[in-house]
Amino acid sequence: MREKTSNLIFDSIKNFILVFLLIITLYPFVNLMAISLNDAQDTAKGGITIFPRVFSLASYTTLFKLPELLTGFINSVLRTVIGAVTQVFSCSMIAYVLSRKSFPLRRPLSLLWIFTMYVSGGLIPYYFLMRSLGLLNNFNIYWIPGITSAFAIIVIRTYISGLPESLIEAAKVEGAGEFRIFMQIVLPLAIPVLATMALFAAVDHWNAWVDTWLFNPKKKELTTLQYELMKKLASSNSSKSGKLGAEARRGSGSGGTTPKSIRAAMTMIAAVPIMLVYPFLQRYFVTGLTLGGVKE
Amino acid sequence: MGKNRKTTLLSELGRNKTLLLMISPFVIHLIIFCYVPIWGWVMAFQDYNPIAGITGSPWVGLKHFKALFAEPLFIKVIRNTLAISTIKLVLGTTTSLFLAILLNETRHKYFKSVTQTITSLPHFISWVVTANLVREMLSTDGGMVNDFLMFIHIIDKPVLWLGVQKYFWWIMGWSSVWKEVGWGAIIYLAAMTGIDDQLYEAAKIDGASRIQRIIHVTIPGIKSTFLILLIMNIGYLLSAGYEQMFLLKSGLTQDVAQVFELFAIEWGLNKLRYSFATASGIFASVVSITLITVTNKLSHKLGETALF
Amino acid sequence: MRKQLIAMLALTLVSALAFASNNSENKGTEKTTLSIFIGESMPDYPSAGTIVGDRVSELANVDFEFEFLVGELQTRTGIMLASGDFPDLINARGEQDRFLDAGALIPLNDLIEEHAPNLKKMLGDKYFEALKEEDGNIYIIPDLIPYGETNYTDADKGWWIQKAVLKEAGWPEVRTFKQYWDLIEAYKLKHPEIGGDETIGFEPLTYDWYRDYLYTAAPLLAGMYSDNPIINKINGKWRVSPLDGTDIEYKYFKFMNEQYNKGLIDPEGFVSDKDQYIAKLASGRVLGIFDEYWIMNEAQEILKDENPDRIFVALPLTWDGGPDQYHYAKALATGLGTSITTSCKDPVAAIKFLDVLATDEIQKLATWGVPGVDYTVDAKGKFSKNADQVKAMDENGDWFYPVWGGKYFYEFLPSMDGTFDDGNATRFGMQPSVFKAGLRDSQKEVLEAYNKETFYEFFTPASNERAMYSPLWSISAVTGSDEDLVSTKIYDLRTKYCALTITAEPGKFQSVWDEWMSQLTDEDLKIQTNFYQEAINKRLAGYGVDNE
Repeated sequence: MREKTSNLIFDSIKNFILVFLLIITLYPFVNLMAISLNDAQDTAKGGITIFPRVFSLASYTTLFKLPELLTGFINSVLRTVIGAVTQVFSCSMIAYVLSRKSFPLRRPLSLLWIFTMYVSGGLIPYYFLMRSLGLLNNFNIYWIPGITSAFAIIVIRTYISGLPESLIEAAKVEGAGEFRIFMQIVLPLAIPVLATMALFAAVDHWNAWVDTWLFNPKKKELTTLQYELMKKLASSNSSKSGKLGAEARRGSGSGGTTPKSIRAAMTMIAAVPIMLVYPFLQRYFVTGLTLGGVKE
Repeated sequence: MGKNRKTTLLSELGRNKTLLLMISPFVIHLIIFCYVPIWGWVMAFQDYNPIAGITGSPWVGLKHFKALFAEPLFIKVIRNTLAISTIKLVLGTTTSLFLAILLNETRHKYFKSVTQTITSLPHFISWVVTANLVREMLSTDGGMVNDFLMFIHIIDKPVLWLGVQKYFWWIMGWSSVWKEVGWGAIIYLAAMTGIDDQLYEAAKIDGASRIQRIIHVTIPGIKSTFLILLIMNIGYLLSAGYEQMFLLKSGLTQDVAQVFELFAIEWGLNKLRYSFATASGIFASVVSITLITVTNKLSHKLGETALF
Repeated sequence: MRKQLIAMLALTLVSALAFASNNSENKGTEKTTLSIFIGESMPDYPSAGTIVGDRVSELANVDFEFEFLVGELQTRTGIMLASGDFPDLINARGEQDRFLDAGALIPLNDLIEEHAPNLKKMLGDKYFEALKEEDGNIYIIPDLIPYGETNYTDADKGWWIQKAVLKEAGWPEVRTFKQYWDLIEAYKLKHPEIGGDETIGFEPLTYDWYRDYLYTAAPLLAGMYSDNPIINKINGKWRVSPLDGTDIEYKYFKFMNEQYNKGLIDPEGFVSDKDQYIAKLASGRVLGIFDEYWIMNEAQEILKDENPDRIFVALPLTWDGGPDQYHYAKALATGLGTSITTSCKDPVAAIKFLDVLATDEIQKLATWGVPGVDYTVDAKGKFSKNADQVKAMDENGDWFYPVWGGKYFYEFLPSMDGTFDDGNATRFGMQPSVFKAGLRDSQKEVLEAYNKETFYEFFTPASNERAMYSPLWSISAVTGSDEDLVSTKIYDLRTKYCALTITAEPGKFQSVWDEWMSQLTDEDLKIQTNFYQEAINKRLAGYGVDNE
């Protein structure tokens, strides 16, 4: 009985906090949705909160009219899938090796990776490296440099280290090699953390545009979605300062777009795929729990 | 002695051939993509000029490091940076952890999934847009925060939050909590799935309340992930978030908003002073590595999980 | 699990390789293709071509490949410089001088003389000489080249006041700064609320670089030109002196501080961004602003549509009501513009391309459109546009960039600015007939009340005396040089202390001002003034004027 009341109190406080968080994190999103669906000139007057005031799809139609959008979308999907899969697979393999206590180089190699999080040679040497590797104007630049990520390695390593050692020992006794243990025992058990890292990597890939801009700007067939969107945003920003633009706008009414409305629509385009993928990935978090019983 | 150790290492490697084979391609990749470009560091000791290149630029020794430390703003910049990133680190870590625990305690599948997804959404909103929203929320002209505080009579007239220096660091801290709380919770949630359900059952049988279970099962279960992330983030103390400061500062808050990255970009890259920018970068790297080494040692000493 | 993973990995590699092998070049057209980098952002050049572009391509017998700016200009140009990978033609805006220093640009004198008669005519002998660098060569052709007389119609900038304030006061002749603030104060007192919200006396715009206008308004009030640093003619020579810390600045900030403490200046203006600024203006609650026409115009357009009585009118105010120098001198912005690089394999084709752009035909096509379709020509040869034709020039529309494409060739590549030989304005917005046709009733009311034809007439006509050394904004120290660092230091102090002096509490103004002055060193100011003095001397020498 006491247990029940205390549970009730606990749950109501907990749910109150969660609903509060839900509202304040949902608000910016709803607000941007409203702005993206509102007439741009009307938005400039401010005061848009939850609902659009003068409904308009202009921000989206302008974006969807971008000529290279489809190519960009395909490349973005490809780089996201390829990038996330290769990164998670490689990093989990590295993490496994670095988690093995018998492996003598685990500490120096871990350090070598950890340092990369805090050390960078700068853009120009990096550009030269990409050039000498023939990665300029090349799709492979989207995923090859990102194959290993120190952050993912460390997080996965921590998770693997938390797995019961007895499982691995048992497999060893049965004569399984390291690679088999990794593939058949460690990988399935690490699915929750792998799903998380895949999500992180996918988001980075999906939102990346600087590499397209600096390394692949000349090949239209290598463009990415975010780069196309960034170009549109940049041009909607600066044409306001052009004299010819200002004159053209004189006397012309609404119906256009502004950086603010474009940015709102862009945010929607960037976030919607994640909204669709993330709940799906959450299933794997639960999978981990049910495996719990098998662990010992 | 030395020879002995060498042979032991070799023989140990020999015993772990498969492991060595599994990792070597990635070590090569690591060296090529992360360590080869480090040659750029020599720029810090030159007056680097992109046309002349590394070979043609004059050597100037420690000139750029001296310039960095002699900069009158330097102390102020470091103070602001450490203050803002410490606030962000503490607020960010605790709120994300707190949210993850609450979500972990939620059994209602859809409520959990919806909350988890929606709280992570602000992560996808760029700082440009977030800064705009923060301004609107804090506005003295019908901003929600002022309206609410006036409604509950905490203040009697609107406060110009963004114009007051003493609030600035906290606004930076809370606005990044707003943006990152849900995203930060994901990794703790993943770590929590690694906790054995039997431990909860056992605690329940022992008569532990839910709060006790959180304290005695959940928190120890993710302690290693928590510590590892903490150590890694302490390494980033010199990065207080360039975009956010740049977008939210104003003439009124310039004194408290100037942070290291902003300083290095404004006086380095934006001025095309590659050498100065590289020197700042090296300084930041050295600080980062010192910080993680020290905290890592500390963690070791306390008998806790360590990063390396 | 394993099988799936391996299959996935294999698929990944196959698709990656497929993409890698897809990268073979395919070239082979007779026309030369020119690559052009422009350090401004515009939509991608349409692959199907544009009305203006196709005609240019036909006349110049070249194809072009534009690259416009997406991220930071310094990052993009830094990579170009380091890698030595230049486009054929480059307009790197503020970073152009670095390409010149790098020896990446080729001299154009002979090319212009031999292959570019139209360009030569557009520049005229005067500018042809003025463009020569110290070695006697021309490397950079500026974007907008003043040509013929200019009909001004609108204010460039000024102290804008709400029409309703003027109307209620019976259309007074407002000349002094004090008068302006008295009007605002009286109106705000009488109407503490507009549309249910508090009336805002004056809204400052202090976001990012927009703040420069308000913070450097002091010389204008003193009847001087808006240069920072100050430039005055002393004994027949133009002499540079610092603006920071002068008495005219002290007077200005002290006065602004008083208005602030009277509650006439909106404190939030010191922390808000441009979107919020425009939103407040558009609400009709703001009585006064100081701004450039092209920034505030976004709000003005909304007001014209929805709140015609609360549109803004620009005034040229001074302390004593004497003549003003608000209007910019029509000047050639040397140092910025387009160049041909050493990577260009066919410089003759490149200069011919620029020459085609300089023809009247292309200039008119790129600013007015197709004759008979986008504008009408009357019997006297005067161009005009009706309301629909003006509306079609909306840059967000389906026609402006994707079909017509005039903007790709005008303004960021060498173009005429002023009046064509046949007397038509180079930009339709400056054509008197187009301006008149576009006036709204609310604007006509103001013009009639003051008995003026255009809003420009409120101002003292621009004196071209300063044209030779102007404009100062196109003089910038080489990025990263000592002069540049000093300028940035002085600028950072301005950003901070202009806000702090204006918003100082009553009685605190003096101490804030003193704090500012204590951080300004004479040494730094000297470096800055010397730099500008040398730069304008150099410019003036280009026109054959000795200013040493």
